[in-house]
Amino acid sequence: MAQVLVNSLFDASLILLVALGFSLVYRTARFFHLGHGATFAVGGYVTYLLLFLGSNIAFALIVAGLIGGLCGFAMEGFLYKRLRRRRSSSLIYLIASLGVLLVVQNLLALLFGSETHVLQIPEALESSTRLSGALFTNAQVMIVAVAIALVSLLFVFLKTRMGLFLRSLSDNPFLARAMGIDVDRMMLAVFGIGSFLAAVAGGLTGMETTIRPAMGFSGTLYAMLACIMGGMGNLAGTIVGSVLLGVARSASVTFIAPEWRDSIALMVVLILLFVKPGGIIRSS
Amino acid sequence: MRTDGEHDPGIILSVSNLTVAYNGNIAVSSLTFEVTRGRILGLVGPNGAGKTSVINALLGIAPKVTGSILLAGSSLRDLRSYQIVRLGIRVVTQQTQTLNAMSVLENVLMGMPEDESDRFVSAFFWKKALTKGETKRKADALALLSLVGLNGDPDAPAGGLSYGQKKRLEIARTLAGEPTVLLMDEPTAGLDTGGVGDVCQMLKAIRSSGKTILLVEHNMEAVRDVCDEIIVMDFGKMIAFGKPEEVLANPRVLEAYIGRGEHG
Amino acid sequence: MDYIIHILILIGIYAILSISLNLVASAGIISVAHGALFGLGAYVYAVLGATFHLPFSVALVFSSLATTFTGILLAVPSLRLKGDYLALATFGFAIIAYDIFDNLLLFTKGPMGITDIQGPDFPFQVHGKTWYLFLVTAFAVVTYLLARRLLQSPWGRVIRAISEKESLVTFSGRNTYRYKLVTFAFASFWTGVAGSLYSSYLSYIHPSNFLPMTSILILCMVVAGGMGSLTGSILGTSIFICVPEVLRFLNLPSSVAGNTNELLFGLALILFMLFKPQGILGKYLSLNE
Repeated sequence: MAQVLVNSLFDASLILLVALGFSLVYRTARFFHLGHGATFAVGGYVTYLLLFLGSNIAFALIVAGLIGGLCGFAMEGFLYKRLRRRRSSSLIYLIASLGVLLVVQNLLALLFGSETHVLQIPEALESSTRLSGALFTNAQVMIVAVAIALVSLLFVFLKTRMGLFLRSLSDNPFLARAMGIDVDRMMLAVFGIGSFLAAVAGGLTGMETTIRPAMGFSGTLYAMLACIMGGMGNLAGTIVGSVLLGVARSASVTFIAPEWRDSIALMVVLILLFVKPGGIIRSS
Repeated sequence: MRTDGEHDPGIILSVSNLTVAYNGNIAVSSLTFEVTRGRILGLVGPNGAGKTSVINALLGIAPKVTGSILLAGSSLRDLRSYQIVRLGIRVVTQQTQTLNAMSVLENVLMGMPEDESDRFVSAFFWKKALTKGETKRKADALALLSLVGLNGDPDAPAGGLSYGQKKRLEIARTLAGEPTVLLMDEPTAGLDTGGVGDVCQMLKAIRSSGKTILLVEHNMEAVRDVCDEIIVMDFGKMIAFGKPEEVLANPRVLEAYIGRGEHG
Repeated sequence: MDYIIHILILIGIYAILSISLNLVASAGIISVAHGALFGLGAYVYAVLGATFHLPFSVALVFSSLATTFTGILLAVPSLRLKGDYLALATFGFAIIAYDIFDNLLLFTKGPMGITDIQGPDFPFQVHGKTWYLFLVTAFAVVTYLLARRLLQSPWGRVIRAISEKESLVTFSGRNTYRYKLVTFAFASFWTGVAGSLYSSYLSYIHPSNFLPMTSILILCMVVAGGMGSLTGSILGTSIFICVPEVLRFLNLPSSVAGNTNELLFGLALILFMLFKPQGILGKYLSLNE
């Protein structure tokens, strides 16, 4: 039982990092950025490469995050900005972002092959401790620590001037524009930050398990589920949703056969969507 | 107002103690009024007074509504929007709504009440009666178009019409529904004096054909010209009711407008 | 020659799918579940044919009824959701369906697939698969004519208006939910037809024939061809079937081929959304606000 709780903590941390970016984008740009998982995957592979080349963990993660942020800039700058000029509906964004996910995922598969890769992490991280019946590795502790650090940083940032601009943009785009807020720069910031978080999460996930091209898809999927559960666009709700999903996923490892796990998570969220479209916590 | 529970046939719409709230903000509170059949009732007030919320409540799209709304004696409260419309209410919204990708004629046809040719199976089993029905509909639609002064190509896409023309198309579409009550939300918005005059003409023509209109308006010339009675709202409450000349001279009303920076 | 007939048969089967999805899209519904319903139809036909030995036409009707029923089951809650949520819900369904195809060993035999599926009894033997080509083309033509008839009828007018401004249609006294539901049910019927044709033609089906990606592929065909344009759907179908086949001639190893295909699909989606969201022949810019 304690083991399940401990595992959920790590799982939730990973989901949360990706989900926050997803939620942030939805809040500001009002669409489901399916390409988010792409940066998750990119982060994983960059970390893998850097570790393979012998760099240390902190460096690898930071670089992965930065490259992920750059990808986010690219997506916004080259694609979404153009769609925004055309006043495209959220469905068009959805389909376009799906295209992005497909392109990036398959590009990674072509470059690195479809098999899973294991990251080379230093032994220190592999050592495990046992605490009241639960086993966890140092790597897992690091994951939680990094997650808490980054999430706190994010919330601090949201209180800054730029963060305030971001929030006013999401609450009322017309007014924000009228007040002279540079929408394009804000959007770049949103995608950059969100993608940074996702990429770091990808690297951390790689250290915890393995990486493979399709991780982009499952990254998007679970981020989306967490956001929907917490109420789309509601950042606090996303935290709740991630925790619940983390618990659910870890619990299902013990009780449900692995091949059904994704489907069951999906079914739960689908039922939630149908019954209470606002999510567990009402979205703003 | 009759309070004996009997429905007065002269009153087509009866609203009592209507309260509308959005997310904790009360938009309309305890509003009570009646609309007499065949008259034009104006609903005026500064921005944010709750006028559009009243329309939303009548149409069944306001979230938190309490109070009673009776159309010819039957309650609209628990009905879905399309059911309310079927009972004979049509709306012309503040923002012009036309089907820009479809033709002018199709826009009017879309306003017509649902009948058996709209059914799914009718698409495949084309009876002679249905073909005749469709021909009649098209003829009626063309007649409505010329009634509102749209004499161009009926098969042209509606997106190509000018703003004023689109407003007329909306009215044609609304009339196609053969409504008993029309809800109009600022039909003169954005029009020049000539345009406003045309709209007033149309409203009076609609009234003389026996229909009832609930008119939300900011343009006081139009209100004075067209309305039989008006209700003035401010902050969700009714602050005056009566004939336009009397009401608009009422100091309380003037204060509501001037205090909020609105021009009459 | 045989190869060309094979491609044409595939185009025909997928054309049925994309025409029916186009019909749904013409009502303003983006559904990414069509591949899953296709798979359901194929599996039901396979089970009825291989296990119960029902004749072709009977199995086809049953499988189409099954997909119609499932489509309704999916649509009833989903159609209450807003556009992009609706698309996600249908995609969720597609993922769940694939997992069921892969794991419900009792019915679908999972990754082993179902073999020896019987096709219709043709009266006389003709060269190779030509009979199948006739059959598939006949069904495709029927689907096309019915869809076209529907879109041009007064009912079709309501549907097109719903895709443009649903509230306007509601305020004309019409129950838009019912119109959308009927459209979805009708389209779901044809996925069963396509699934049965597919099953009987290949005589071996496998879960990998019906991945979530398949639903995306069918959507690509509709997007490329243009919403509301049935001829466009046929064009889009042809493009998305022929291009991967052309790539086959480059002799790429199968894993690379798969990834290259998907990459191109993704690229196509991006390019179409950027430059021509209404598709090649689409008339309705119903995706714009």
